[in-house]
Amino acid sequence: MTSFAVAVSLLALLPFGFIIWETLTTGWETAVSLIFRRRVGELLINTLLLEALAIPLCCAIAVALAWLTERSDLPGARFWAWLGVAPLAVPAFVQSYAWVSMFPGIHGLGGGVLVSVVTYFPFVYLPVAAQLRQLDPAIEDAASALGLGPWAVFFRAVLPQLRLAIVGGALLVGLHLLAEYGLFAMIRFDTFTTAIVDQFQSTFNGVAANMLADVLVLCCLGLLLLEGRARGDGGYARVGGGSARAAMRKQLGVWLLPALALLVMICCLSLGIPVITLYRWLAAGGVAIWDFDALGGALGQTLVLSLAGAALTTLAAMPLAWLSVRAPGRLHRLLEACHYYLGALPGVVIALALVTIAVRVALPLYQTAANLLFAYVLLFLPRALVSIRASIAQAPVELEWTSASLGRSPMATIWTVTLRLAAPGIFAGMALVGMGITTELTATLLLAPTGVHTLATRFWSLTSELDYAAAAPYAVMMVVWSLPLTFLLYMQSRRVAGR
Amino acid sequence: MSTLTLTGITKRYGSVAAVDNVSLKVEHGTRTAVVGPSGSGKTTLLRLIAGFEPPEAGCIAIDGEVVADQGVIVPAHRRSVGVVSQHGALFPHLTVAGNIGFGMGRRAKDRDRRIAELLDAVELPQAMGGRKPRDLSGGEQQRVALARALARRPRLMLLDEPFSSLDTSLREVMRAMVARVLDDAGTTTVLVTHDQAEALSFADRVAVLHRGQLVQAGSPQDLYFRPQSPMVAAFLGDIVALPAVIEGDLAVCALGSIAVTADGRAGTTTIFLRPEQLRLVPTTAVDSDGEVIGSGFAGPTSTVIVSLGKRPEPLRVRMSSQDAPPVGTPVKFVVLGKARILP
Repeated sequence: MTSFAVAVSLLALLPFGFIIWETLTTGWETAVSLIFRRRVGELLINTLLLEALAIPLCCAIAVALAWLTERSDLPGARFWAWLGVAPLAVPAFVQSYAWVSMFPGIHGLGGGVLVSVVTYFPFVYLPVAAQLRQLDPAIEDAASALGLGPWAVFFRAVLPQLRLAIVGGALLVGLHLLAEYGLFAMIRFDTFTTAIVDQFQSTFNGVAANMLADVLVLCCLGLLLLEGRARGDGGYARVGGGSARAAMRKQLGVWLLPALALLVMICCLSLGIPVITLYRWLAAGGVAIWDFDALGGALGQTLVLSLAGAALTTLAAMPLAWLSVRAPGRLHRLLEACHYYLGALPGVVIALALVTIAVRVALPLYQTAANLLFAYVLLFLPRALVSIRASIAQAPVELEWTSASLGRSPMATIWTVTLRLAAPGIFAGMALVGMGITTELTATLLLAPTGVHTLATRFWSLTSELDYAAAAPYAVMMVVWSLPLTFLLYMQSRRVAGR
Repeated sequence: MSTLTLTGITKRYGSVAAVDNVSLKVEHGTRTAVVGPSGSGKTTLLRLIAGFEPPEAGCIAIDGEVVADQGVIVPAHRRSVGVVSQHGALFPHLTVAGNIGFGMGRRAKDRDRRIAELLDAVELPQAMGGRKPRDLSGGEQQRVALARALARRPRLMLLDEPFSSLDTSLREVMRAMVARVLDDAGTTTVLVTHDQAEALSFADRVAVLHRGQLVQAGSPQDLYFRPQSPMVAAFLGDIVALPAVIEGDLAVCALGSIAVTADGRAGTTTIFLRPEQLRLVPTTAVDSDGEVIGSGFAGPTSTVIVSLGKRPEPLRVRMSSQDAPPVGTPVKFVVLGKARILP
């Protein structure tokens, strides 16, 4: 079990090792000339501005939305909570396709920030809402008893307790901003990821692309360090036993109308625009755009790839998850930390590494489904790890002992107790990975063998030819596909909160 | 015949010996309580007996069969030892009946009848068989856990603080029920607890564990009245310790000359009394041993604090609130039974 986990981790380190190897072998002068140039400076400024503007906006919107849906007497709070998560069902590049269709002039930093915020704020909303549900209202009561007004209670007693959730969500948004290709390519805003893909597709200039990837990886590392800082060392454990009482909902009073206006606006921007655009393109395209052969082919290939990818990823994650729950030790902590950092590697970097390795070392692997699946495993392993670990923890070791004391052998115990209890979580993890693969664009563009078209790559090539109407059915299918994923994430976040 | 024999059992975690050279015999059909403060190694001992972990040294035999010794480790599922843990550890995916039948084998002929019998035995209604554990109260979960462990007619039953998560009123009812069920089944039982009152009232024999070592084992009365160490004396109940000079069968101390079990000892030593051996009698100032300087009311009983003229530390005596003298009353002590020398 341990050796399998170590082997998986070593394989997962491959892209990272490749980057370091490349940097070392490129030679100092070439590297300096490729990294310290105007173009890189521009990209860096773009990236930093994007992060600096989009992340705080996402956090502000998410916290406001979370408070309104969880802690105020907003009518239909459950419904609004759903709408707060629903934008996750719209893949980032479909979102930006909708905006470009509606406002053809949209481009650059402003457009990038706007579209990223409406796409990514749910990543902060989910953990913050979950955390808000969990907070012990006794702390707020204590704060008001100490003479704080309602606003002061929020800023001094509630917000600090949301810190971990906000910082965690912000990191996720930040990493997505760094890794996203389709969204920014569509509205012509240059980031490192778009530059790397362009470089790769136009000239197959390995060295230049790799140096850009270096800077991108450094940006990710910077974000992780920043997150570690911002997270602080504070645990916010509840003092005392017993379960927390459910919190009272605050009355909005005169604030009801402004609150509703804010919610309606957010929903119009994040859901209204894609829905209207898709509807318009479908209506305009009529029957002509439903090319069932191409659609069916893409759907079939997407299905096969996601099923195989999900199964492989789950299999690879299982031993590591098992170890981290049942035999926590120094080795497993090291492995876990390494997967945590690998989870931050953008898809484009992984894809680039795998293409180059295949071309140079293992040519038979170049342009094969195996290479693509391997990329999927690396990309989604950290995500699978999280849900599988949580689900194995659902089966406490005490139950295994009890089963043994009742005469069941270890194998029978694993089958009838542990796996039985962990199964829902393991399947949920598989589903998460599978649906993630369905809408994966960057790595698939770079690695898909000739003739393999997923829904995402078909959609992408059609929009590149500016055939927006023909792309609409693919977008619709991806959204429909992503709905269960969104539902799953929503349910998971509620379960974490213990409701 | 002994059902369980432990010989020189040792288990270390890192450099800390959780269980240190423990030897213990448990006779067939009896109830033994292993009691000790938290961290004394009692749960570890229980896990070693159940077979969830192997001991580092020593031998465990059940019904004469060696289940753990150098090189021989019989795994938990072949030991036929029942375990009821603190929170019951019911399988959340199975119904109550499914839990009780878990160890029986799925196609056992009398499975349904046995499950019904066991539900009866632990005083649960038959209708509860179809419920899921999450719909049960804490006490009901413990009853199911007990029925489940009994279903296999184990050679030995291990109870790991099974009452500590229940509230006080329920605890005694459960204790009596468990004792009755185990007696009816004739099951040899080892109870692990940190609650001395529970240990003394539940068991035929009590073993006190301290820092991994077995400090004393014997009948509850033996341990309570004839402890062999200050630790055991203080752990099993409140004590009043007084310096005294032994003269024959009398001890001269702050309370005057009182009867003592001297066991041939003489000279200056420390004697102890259980607080319930002391009675307070209001008296005149001239005749008194001391004066009441405080009183803590707790409903039916009160703790009366008495300062003794010659002694720096006041004595605390628990007594019926009806008889508690007010602050300022001069009082005299009447000692019931004999004091003992603190080892």
